Amino acid sequence: MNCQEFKSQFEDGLNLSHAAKIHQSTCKECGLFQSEELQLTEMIRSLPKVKAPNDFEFGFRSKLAKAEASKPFSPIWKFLRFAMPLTAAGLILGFVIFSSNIFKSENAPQLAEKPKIEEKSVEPKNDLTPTGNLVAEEANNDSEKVEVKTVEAVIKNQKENTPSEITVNNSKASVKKDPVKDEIRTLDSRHDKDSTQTLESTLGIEKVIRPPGIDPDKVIDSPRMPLETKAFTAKEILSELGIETNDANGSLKVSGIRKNSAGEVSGIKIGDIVTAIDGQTITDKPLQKGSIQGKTLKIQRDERELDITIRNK
Amino acid sequence: MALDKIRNSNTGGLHTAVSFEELSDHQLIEATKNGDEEAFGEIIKRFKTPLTNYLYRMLNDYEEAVDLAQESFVRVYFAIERYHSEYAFSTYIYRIATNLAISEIRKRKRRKLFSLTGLYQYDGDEDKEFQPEDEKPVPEDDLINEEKRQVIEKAIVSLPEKYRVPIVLREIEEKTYEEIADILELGLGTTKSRISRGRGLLREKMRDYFEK
Repeated sequence: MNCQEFKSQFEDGLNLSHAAKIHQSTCKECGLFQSEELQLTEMIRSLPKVKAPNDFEFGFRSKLAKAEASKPFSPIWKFLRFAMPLTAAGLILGFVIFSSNIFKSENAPQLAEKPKIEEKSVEPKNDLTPTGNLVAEEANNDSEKVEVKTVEAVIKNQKENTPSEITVNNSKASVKKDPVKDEIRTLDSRHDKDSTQTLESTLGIEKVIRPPGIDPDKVIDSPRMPLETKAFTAKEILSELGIETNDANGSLKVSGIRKNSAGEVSGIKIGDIVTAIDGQTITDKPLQKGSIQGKTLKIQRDERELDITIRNK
Repeated sequence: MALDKIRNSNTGGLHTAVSFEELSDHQLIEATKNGDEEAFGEIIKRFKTPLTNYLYRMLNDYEEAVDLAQESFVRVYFAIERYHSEYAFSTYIYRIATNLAISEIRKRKRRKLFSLTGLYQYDGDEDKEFQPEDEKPVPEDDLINEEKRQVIEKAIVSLPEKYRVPIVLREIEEKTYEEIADILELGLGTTKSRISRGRGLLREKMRDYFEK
């Protein structure tokens, strides 16, 4: 037996075997080890036993009562302990997102680019000039259609000479007769009810009476359409070329030509009957200015049919 | 009543009075589960002194030892429904007390806390933390002198935690290796090794006091 085996057997507390006893008697180190171990055990086990105090159970009961009062063991509370912070966090997050959306939507119109005030020169032919309507039956994306309808209605009113529909200040009308190109201001797309006054003051007319069926409170909320895309009649297009016409059996008969106008330069003469513009036969319907530019005119002169190319003045 | 059932079952259905002292730990626990508070009182009575002594030797602080012993019973009481009788009840409650003691030791290390009755000394060995003997326990030491007693107490408390716990359980509480292994949830070999190593450290500290 070696020292390690002896110590192991001794620490296990088993009775020493004969071999261990022989080793102990012969090995000085193991003899010392055994002696110290026995003394150490005796010293430790001779330590006084500490007793619990007499009021131990009282202290236990008070701790128990305290623990019962402070520790919620309800499963609902256990659930709420985790659910409440999560719910609070969710509410805060939701509020922040909601608030940011509200803020964004409130500021969006201000941040957006304001509709530009377009300046377009038109040459008025009559006292009344379709300055671009400011009201529409409905504000929608299909504003082009709405514009066409309304201009048509205004021009029809002109033809029927219904002063009850539009009343024009005489002084302002005289200004409009001036061949100097007039500025047509488009109003902000976000008119309210008071926007009518703005329109009237801008146009210099006493009152704008809108065609029946059009709600004056409903105003266009989209930017103004460019003039190039608006509809005009053939008469108006010819007027822009300096050619004044009268109706003649579905065609237009030239009644006058302004000096130094494109019509005069191109050789149009009084008495010519214009039957088509840019290949499009003249009708009462409005023509699309974007597609009809008045570059070529088909006319009848002395029972001859001529194609005249309009030249710039 | 639950206790009546236990008494009846112990006495083969005879209605003879059976005192709490005659009931096993498990029977007392069962009675407590069924609402008998007095049964738990008997459990306290059985374990309060060994548990207090064990914790005192672990911490060398009597007030703290009593406090943690009471806390151990509180925890047993609240978890009594989850107690299973696969282990001895003493193993169960010693495990709880050991965990509380270890937590307290680590807390003291972290905070370098001075106890009301003790002091902290540092002489190069971080585990050499001790407090003077509390005067409350009444020593019955007629075998060794006061100096030896103080030295061995200090030596035990100065042991590293992983050696101190099995040494106290083995040498003071006189638990078997198997019980200690169960309490500490260690393997038997590890438990023996730690005890052997702890005893070796104690021998080194006490060498000057051994008789040649």
